Parts: sequence; structure tokens; C-alpha cells
Amino acid sequence: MKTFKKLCFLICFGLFATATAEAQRLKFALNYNVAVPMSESFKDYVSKTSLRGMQGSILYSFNEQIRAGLQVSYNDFYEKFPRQVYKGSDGSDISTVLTNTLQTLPIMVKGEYSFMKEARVQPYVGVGAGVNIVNFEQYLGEFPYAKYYSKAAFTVDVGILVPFRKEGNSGFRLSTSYNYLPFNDEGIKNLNSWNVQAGVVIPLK
Amino acid sequence: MKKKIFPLLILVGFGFLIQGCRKDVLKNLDDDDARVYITKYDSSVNFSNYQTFRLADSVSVVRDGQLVRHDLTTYDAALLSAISQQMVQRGFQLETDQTKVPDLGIQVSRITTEYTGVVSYNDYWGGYDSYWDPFYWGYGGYGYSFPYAFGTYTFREGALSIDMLDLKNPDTGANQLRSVWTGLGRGTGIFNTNNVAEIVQTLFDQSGYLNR
Repeated sequence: MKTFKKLCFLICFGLFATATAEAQRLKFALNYNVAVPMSESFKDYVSKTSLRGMQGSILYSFNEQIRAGLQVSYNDFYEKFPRQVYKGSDGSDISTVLTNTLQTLPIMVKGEYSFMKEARVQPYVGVGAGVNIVNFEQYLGEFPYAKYYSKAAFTVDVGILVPFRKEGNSGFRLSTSYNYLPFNDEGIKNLNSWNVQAGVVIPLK
Repeated sequence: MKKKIFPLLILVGFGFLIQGCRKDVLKNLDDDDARVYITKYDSSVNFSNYQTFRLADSVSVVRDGQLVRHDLTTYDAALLSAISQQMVQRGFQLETDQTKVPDLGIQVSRITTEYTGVVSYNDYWGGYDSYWDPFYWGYGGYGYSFPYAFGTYTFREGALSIDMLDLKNPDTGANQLRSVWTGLGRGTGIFNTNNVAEIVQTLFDQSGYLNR
């Protein structure tokens, strides 16, 4: 867990370092992120929607329509199952409250394209690819089993940017995305999720 | 300066949010939820072939893999009583005549470790002969055998183990007494007297085959 926290901080400060170097055309976006598990085996592990998530990105604008940069998302998936008897791999019968948790941290290179310049509402599409850091933790009662994984990550998203002021650089952002997160461990095949984000975009200058 | 601090604050805040944005599993478990009960049995055994049982008169206390003593605290007495009641409810007969060897012998162990160490259940089994002398059951010179194997269950704080021995069919060739059922309880409150009834009930409830 300590390694995971350190990694989170390193990513954040890495983003900051990038931001200060090229501040003029950089925009920082911070979003609240809701994720719905989509893969069947992922839903078997945790069926509940993750309401504990966020997304941050720093994108460099090449012109008024095209921008690219780094995006980091985070979601905590959690589901607690009432006590029941499970068959252990050794043939034993195990009566336990089962808590399944999983945290995903996709870190991706991201590109976005806005369809309209200087419009009041600016629709855009985006694609991204990178690495997904996964913390898998399953609890039998109070006894945890935990393991980290790093896998590939891909995303596509569509959304709108609504500047707070006409021709303003900061604004409101609303988007939806589909994360394709390959995974084939712990009985789970793929951690794909459908996501909805809402947040703000702030120019870094 | 102010312009540089603003994005820094946002990014540091993002980092803290990631750390805080996680549901704490242990805080969402009450003491009952925290406990785990594991049972295993010799599937070749038909428990209806056994009629009588007796419990050891005390509980072995095992600390860090070593037998410390045999004890009979209030907790131990409540535990032995609850096990006896469950066995009787399932049709077995308590053998009170000390001159007779019952069909099943039940012995209980409290296994504790210091917080700095961990003990696996397999390690605990490795030293079983020294925790309970088979002589107690009238089989001096015998050892114990477990025809079933558990996975490695590691525990820090403590575990309760209930082992049921086949005294009706000792392996005279190998000089061994066979365990036919084991119940293991782990987790918060496992050594709390108030939880004894629930612990024993759960272990027997998930062992539906344990009937006359």
C-alpha cells in the first residue's frame, strides 16, 4: 500500500513539473469520476458502481482544436458480501464475510480533438493509451490477500467543454468514457468500465 | 509566485484525494464479520458409524508453536460445554465412563502468537503430537495423522482449533490416531467467552455431514 501511495504522489508531482515547464498552452483538468464495471467477471467480483474516483489531466494545446498530454484516473471498487460458506481450494469449507476491493490507476498519454472553435459549448472526442496499475485486495473476514499488477490501458471518450466566460480559458467539463483495461488474473478477465466525469478545466499560466 | 502555487495546491490536493478516496475495509467490518471459520473432514468417513464421544478435560494452549500448558478457564469450559451440546444434538452420546474408550475423541487448542510473528496452520499441525499426548486417549506410543490437508492459513493474533479423532479405528500398523474433522476459528473476538456459542454453532452448522 505504501508503494501505491508513493506512486500516486510521484505521478502528481510529475504532472506539476510538466505543467510549470510549458505553462502557456497547458490546461489542467480535474474531474470527479464515476465508474461502472462492464466485464462479466469483473462484475462478478465487484458489481457495484464506483463512486470513489477522480481524474486529472494536463494537456498541451497545439492549436484551438487539438491537444495532447497526460491523464491519470483513479477508481476504488468495493463490495462486501454477507457471510456464507465457500469451498476452499484445499477442499475446506470456509464461512466468512467476503470483501472484494480493487483500485485501478490508468496513466495514459491522451489526445483530444474539439469540433468547434470558440463555441459556447465545445464538443470533443479523445483517445488514450498507457499503463494501468491495479491493486487487488480481497478480504476473508479481516484477513487480506493483496497483490499489485501493471497492465495496458486504453480509453476513448466524448464530452463537452463549456467556458465560464466567453472566450475564457477555464470552464466546466462533462464527459463519458469507456476504459478498456486488459487483465487476466485472480479469476477476473478484463477490468473494463464505463465512466462519467464532471469537473473543471483550468489554464496553467 | 501566486500563479505557481495555485496549480501545485491542486495537484497536491489530487494526491491526497486519491489516498483518501478509498473505502476502509476493516472499519466496515464489525467483530462478527471479522471472524473466519474453516472446517475440513475426512470424506471417506461416515459419521453415523460412530456413536460415543468424549472431550479432553482441558484445552491446550499453544504459543508461537510451543505447548505452554493445558488450561481450563471460564472460556475453555464454555467452549467444551458448547461442543458437547452440539455433538449431543447431532445424535452422538457423551461417554462418561472413564474406563471406556469412546468412538470419537475431541481435543481443543488455543493457538496464539506474538504480534511480531505469524504461524501457519500447517506449522501448528507439525507439532501436534507434542500438544496432546495420544496416551491421554489410551493410545500410548501412537502419533496423529491428518488424512486431509489445509491450505496455509496464517494467523497473527490467534486461532481456535477443534480436532476430532477416530478412536474406534486406530491405525495399529502405523501406530496412529486419525483426525476425522477439524474446525478452525480465527479473527477478532475468537477468545471472547461471549462469542463461544456462535463460534461453535457456526463450525457445526457448516458441517452438515457431522450427524449420527
